[in-house]
Amino acid sequence: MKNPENSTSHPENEPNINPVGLLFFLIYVGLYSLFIILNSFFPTTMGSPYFFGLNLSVSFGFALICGAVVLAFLYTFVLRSKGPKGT
Amino acid sequence: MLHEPSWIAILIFCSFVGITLAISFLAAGKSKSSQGYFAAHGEVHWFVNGIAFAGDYLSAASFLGICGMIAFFGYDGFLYSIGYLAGWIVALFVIAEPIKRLGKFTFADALDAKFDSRGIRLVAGISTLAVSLFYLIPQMVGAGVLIQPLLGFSHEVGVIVVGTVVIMIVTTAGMVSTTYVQFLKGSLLVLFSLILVVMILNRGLSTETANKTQHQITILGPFSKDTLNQKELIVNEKLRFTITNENKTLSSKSILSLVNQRDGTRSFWRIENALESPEKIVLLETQTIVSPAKLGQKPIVNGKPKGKGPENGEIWSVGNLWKLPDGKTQTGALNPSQFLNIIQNSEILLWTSEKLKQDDGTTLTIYYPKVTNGKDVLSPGNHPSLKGIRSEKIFDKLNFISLMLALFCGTASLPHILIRYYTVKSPTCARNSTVVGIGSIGFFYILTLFLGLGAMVSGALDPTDSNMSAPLLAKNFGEFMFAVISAIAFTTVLGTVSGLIVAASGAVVHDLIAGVLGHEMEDHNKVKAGKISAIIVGILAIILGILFQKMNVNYLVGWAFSIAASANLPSLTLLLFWKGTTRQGIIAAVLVGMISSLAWILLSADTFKDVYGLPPEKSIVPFSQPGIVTIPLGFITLIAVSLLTRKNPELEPSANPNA
Repeated sequence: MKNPENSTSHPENEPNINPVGLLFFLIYVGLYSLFIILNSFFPTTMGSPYFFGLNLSVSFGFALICGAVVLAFLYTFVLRSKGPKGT
Repeated sequence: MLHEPSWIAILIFCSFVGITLAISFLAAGKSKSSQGYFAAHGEVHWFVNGIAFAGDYLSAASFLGICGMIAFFGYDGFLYSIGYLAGWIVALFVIAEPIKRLGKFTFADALDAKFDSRGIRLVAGISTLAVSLFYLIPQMVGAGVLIQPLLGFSHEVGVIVVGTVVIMIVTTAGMVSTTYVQFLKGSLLVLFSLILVVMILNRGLSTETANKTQHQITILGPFSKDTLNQKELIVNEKLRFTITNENKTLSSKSILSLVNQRDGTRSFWRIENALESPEKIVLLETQTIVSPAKLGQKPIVNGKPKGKGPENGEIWSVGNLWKLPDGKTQTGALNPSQFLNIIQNSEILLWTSEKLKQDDGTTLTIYYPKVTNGKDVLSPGNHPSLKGIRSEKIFDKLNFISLMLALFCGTASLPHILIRYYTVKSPTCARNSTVVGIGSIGFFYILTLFLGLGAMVSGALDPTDSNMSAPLLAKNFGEFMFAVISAIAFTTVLGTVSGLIVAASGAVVHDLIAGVLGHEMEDHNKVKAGKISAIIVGILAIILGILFQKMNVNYLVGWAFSIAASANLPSLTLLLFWKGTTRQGIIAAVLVGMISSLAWILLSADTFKDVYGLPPEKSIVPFSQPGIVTIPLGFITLIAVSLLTRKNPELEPSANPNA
């Protein structure tokens, strides 16, 4: 069993959410919620052409996938100097 | 469809399995201790672990299930891709680093880090087993689906072969071999999916099928719309039909039942507007299977006993473009945006089915094409389980919202994903590996839309089995691609099942035997117990894989996500971010989340229809996906029980170590 004392003995061992991480998380939750609301209550809007002739459902879907990847890399970039590198 | 195994497919398949087993045996030396067996000594490089995340996560559901769902229902399958990836945001920003700090072997380690409670170990162990088993079912179903065309084995034999190979992988080297198998297959899956998408785009779109030997659908007509009100349909002097009123018993009123006046044979035809003139109709050929009432009898396929050759009947491959924009018949090579745009402005023959119980006890299944506008194909609400999006009823919409919530919350609660955080050195490595995982998984999910749509118009689909869409699409590009894609998909199943079995056996050994029963074991005995547990879980997985043969693997995974999200996520997040969390609160939340989501699923309309074979209207829950009710219920339970049991805060260790 892990000793709770040990888990707080190093700065690395702080299980708080990072403020940047929290911000990114909230941004993504907002976008994802908007996507669900639009699909649920405005399905015809989702079917209308929006980006490069593609409908909103496809464009928004791609944006959510690409957005997650971009936020993930951005997060690593912001935190690049924090914590041991390790392998 | 009846598939013929080919030597090249068998050769490539055997090479993949051979390499996988070789990795396991080579890694066996590193897995003598429990730290090595269950967590690969925490020494895996974060990049390897990141790709292994992709290997773990891009399971049979992602590859076979999503592609199949897109191929048959369009955009709805892509909704799963979006939801599955979004879940990684929770994993990265909320779970990754803290869970690495708090745990050692299992998800229960993290939950129990502050409390040292047998109760927490017990419920977390049971929850891990429940989620792992639910997640194992679709993987094993996927394995059976793949092995049938590849090696010519039956579904049952396929599932047993996979189960046996996986048990060998896990019992030889545990997490070490599982990690490297995942790394290998994760890389290959993304690479070959990309190659397949390039081939699809390069071929472009056509109203004619790529495979010239494919059965060409028979089209009768055009006829005037009044024809449907007559008693007789005359195609020509030799071909006359009597129009029966059998279609009144079918839910699809666009299917016409005809009896050939010359030989008395019955056939079903789909009514569609004629291409040349919308005032007229044409009749499109359908396919039928009559399933016998008694065991041992042969099904009747397209009017003949099931089998190969002219005396027998078999289902022919389907999936075509009905009409391209601007009257074109083919496009030539396309870029990704052009491909989607043209699909959006085309009309496509989507195949669906309807079952009918007949008076003699047999079941008639009619597979019929339906001309569908490309705009509808690329909009949500085509799949039966997601039709509610287009409904006015709020409960129908809640089913979709509930599913998307479960996908978002479920990823970071899956036991085989959580234990992968223990295979790297530090929380920073855990974070970095999650980012690598998100990059590769996100890229793959973008490819799924092209793979699914490519399969939809490839003319290669099996209307009786949506799970085979991706491998059959590959077959369209030659036997070699089919063999490679099938072998990769098979390795995908092997890797994911291995990870799940390691997670389940870890829960049995660390949480239930050591944590709950207090049975202290020598290190080598822990490994031995882990291997025995792996064999038992593997056998259970084989049995379940055979029982759930006919269900779409992607849909089954949705259930696993709901249970994981409802049982595990409330405790994990509140433990990390709410000081008031108590031991009793965690136990209650895991139990309530797990039992309520499981009960909801078992009482849902989908389970009534697909598992029990009962009328879905008899279900007592208003919609099938439990997440929107059971995830908040888990949070509320934890908060309420924690508040009730926090009588003396000094006796209850704080959830926040900084406090």
